[in-house]
Amino acid sequence: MGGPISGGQVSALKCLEVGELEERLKMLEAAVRSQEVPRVSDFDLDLDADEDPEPKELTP
Amino acid sequence: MSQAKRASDVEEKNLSPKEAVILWMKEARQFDSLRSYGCWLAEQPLDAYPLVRLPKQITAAVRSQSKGVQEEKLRHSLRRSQKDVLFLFYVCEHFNTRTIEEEEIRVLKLALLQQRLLTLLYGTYCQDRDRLDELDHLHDLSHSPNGKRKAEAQALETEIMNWPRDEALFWGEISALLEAERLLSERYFSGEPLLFPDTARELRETLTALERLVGTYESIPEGRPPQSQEGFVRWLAGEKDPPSASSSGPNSESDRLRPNPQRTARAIAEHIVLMARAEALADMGDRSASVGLIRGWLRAQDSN
Repeated sequence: MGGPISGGQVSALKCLEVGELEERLKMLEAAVRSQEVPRVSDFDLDLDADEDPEPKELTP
Repeated sequence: MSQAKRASDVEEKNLSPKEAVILWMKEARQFDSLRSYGCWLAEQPLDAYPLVRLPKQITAAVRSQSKGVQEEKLRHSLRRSQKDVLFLFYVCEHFNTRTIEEEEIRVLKLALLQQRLLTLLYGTYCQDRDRLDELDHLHDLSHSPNGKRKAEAQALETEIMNWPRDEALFWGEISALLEAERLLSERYFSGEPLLFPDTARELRETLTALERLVGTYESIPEGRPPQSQEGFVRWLAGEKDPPSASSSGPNSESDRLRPNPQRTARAIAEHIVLMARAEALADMGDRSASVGLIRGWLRAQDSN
């Protein structure tokens, strides 16, 4: 407890940090599946998937 | 570009409302339950709260993608994105809250079905034993049961008929919730699950418990003597009775009674969407539009 951090410990911490970062990147990339701008805002999207997605807003 | 820079670049400048909410859902679901996520959140700075963080992320993304865009157009884009992100957040939040709020009722309903099944098993055992005991004492196979015994037997038969109907209704409620999650998830979240893992687990485990109870229920007619005295005599003599309608095959009764959950699922999903829209509008300061949505829904409910 309280002793100087060894080179091995630093490497282990580094690996842990890189691992966490990779995990986060994976999660971000999974979230960003498509970057196209949707024609209809999510708010105005009705539950019916087969409707004609006209760009209209329910509210101004 | 370093991984750290890539991550922060994507997170801070490129997320659409849907992507930002999906990312938040992925992070929150790592806590297994809404409760543990809430406990963790309570210890965090204000910026970690989804209703603070998500609109901030979206504003930064819209601004970074709209350089050189006219101020009025930018304001419109910002408002639209804010409304979208709030709406999607509330869809997820309302669906989880609704499902969790009903958990205690589900636990009690399952316990009640279990208890009723136990009573059924005990009742059938007692009834069959009484018939045998009576034979031992009377040695008269043409003897018919007294009024009290007859009423008890009738009540038992009614309960045998009612149990699978109530089980099927309960099964329908849970299946409708799972189907509503699927509808919302596919429509608004690219298939990302909405429920926290422990809530989804609870629903699946309840369905498994119901399957087990149905298995036990289906076993009741097996080995029971026939109701008619003549059948009872043949049964005592070791002759087989022709199969009755209630023992025509495993799961036949529950399968026949179980409702299609699609309609209820749709109603649940539509209600969640309506409430999420109303809440998003209220948060955007548009209270009259928010109240208007709810009023319209109430009027539609009244006319149905």
